[in-house]
Formats: sequence, structure tokens, C-alpha cells
Amino acid sequence: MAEGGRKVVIGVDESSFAEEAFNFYVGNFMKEDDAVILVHTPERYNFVDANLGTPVERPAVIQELLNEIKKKLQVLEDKYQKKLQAAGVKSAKFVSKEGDPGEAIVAVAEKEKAVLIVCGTRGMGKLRRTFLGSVSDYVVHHAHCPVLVCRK
Amino acid sequence: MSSESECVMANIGPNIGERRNVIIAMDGSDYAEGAFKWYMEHVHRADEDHALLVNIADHSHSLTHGSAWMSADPKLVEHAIREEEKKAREMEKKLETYLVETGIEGQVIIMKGDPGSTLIKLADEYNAAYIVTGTRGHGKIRRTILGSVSDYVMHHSHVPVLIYRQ
Repeated sequence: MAEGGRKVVIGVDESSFAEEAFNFYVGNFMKEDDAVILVHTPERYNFVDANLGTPVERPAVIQELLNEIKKKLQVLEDKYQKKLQAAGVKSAKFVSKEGDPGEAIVAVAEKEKAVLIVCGTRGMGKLRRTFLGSVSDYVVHHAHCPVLVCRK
Repeated sequence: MSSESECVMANIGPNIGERRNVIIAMDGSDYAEGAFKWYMEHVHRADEDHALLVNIADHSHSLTHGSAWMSADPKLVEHAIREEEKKAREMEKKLETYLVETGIEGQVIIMKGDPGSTLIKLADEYNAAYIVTGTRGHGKIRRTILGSVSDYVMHHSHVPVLIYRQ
């Protein structure tokens, strides 16, 4: 039996795919002493658009967008907090990281020396760049540990 | 691409019953062995899992002994087939020892055909909970980070895939 305290990184966003990946991990892979690290990359708004094409900056609009991002993040964290509790996860951490989701997941996994990365195949990304989610693709190719790619 | 698969099954475990079928792709490579060990250490649930150790021999290369210019020497083809069947039996024995040594509940499945699509088909047939594969296997040419079979499985699987590395 593996010793306790395995670190497991799970990439999450607001999508149901992330939820399914989380559920699958809990139902099939989770061990009692796992330390779960949920990694989330907030979607970036194009702040240039916020200026509505004029040279004049509109701080109010930008502020509104920033608040919206913060609110969404809180909603996501609350949602997963409930799921973590229901799953009986003993140790959990929520990491919000700027930049590319795939890179964020891999970076956190490396830093935390994760034993496993869990991700879904699709998410909320506005741009459907590939048929298989670009994030899971990136993670599988760059991770330094095993990756569980959850698809249905 | 047609894959004519012949199935030679050595049933080791008892009835599958309510257990969760897990497909573990085993091509005899170090990666496959590593994947199995990792599965044992980190994922295997003794009271829930039924492990299917799957080896799929891709014989497509050996069917091209003949050519438009020169028909194949039947003895050559015969020899090639016998060699491959010998390898399959060795593989079967090797995988059976994995089951015996670990004492886990499972069975060995030896098949012929295209590895990627056959794995997917097996996962469907056995209603597998997920598939375990290494990032690569025996492939001699390391063109990519992810071997062609693992890549195929990852993109076409209908169930979660655990891609083992290191």
C-alpha cells in the first residue's frame, strides 16, 4: 500500500466535464490520505474590448469585469468545496493561476511533486482549437507524472 | 482498417461478477511493466477490480512478405507465423505470472490485430471502467512524446485513460 499523503492535481473549470473528472477520481482512484490540489485558470477577458474601441480608458467597465471574474472564482471554489467535503477528502487546496490552463496544471503538479494529474477532455474554453481538448493534450505531453484523462 | 483479431484467452481469475473491469495494455515493454506496477501501487482496489492484462500482437508487417514482384515463400510466411505464435505464448505466460505473483483478481487476454482499435473494442466489450497505458511501448523510433498506440487510445477511448509515465 502506498504511504499516505499522495498529492493529486485536478484541473477544474466551470464545466460539467471537470465535474465528471473529479467524480471519477473520487469514485475510482481516490485514497484516504490524498491531498487534492484543484487548479483553476480564470478565463481572461479581453480588456482592450472593454475600452470599446476608443482611446479613452473606461476603468468602470474594467472594474466590473474584474469583479465578475472574482465572483465566478468564488462560485467555483464554493462548488468544489462542497464536493470535496462530500467526497471525504481530508486535505484540499485551491490554486488559481494566471495563464494557459495546461501550463498552469503542469507547473503546479511539478511544484507540488504530484503523483497524479486528473483532467477532463473538454472544458469551457471559448476557442475549440482541437477535437480533443487542448488542455488535456498539453498536460499529457508535458506532465512529469501519470495523467488520468477523463472522457465519457 | 480491418483488424482480424483472434482471441486466445487464459482465464485465471474467478467469475467477474460485480467487479470493475480495468484494461491494462501490456506489450512487454518496460513502460508497460511500469504502468502495471504503478497501477498496483496506486490504483488497484483488491476488492473491486478485475484486471484485464491485454497483449495485442500487431502482425500487419508480417503479412507483407510477398510483393507484386515476387510472391512470398510460403515457408517464410509459415516460419514468421510460428515465431509470432511462440511470442504470443511467451507473453501469455509472462502476464500470467504477473497475476500469480501479485495475487490479484484478473485475466490475461492475448489478441492479434491493430493494438489501438482493439484496446478500444475490448474496453467496450468488457464495459471497462478505464484503460491503463504507458506513454509508449516497444516502438523503435522515438518520433514523439506519446507513442502511436497510446495517442490513438487517448483520442478514441470512450472511457477514461490513465497514461503512465516515468
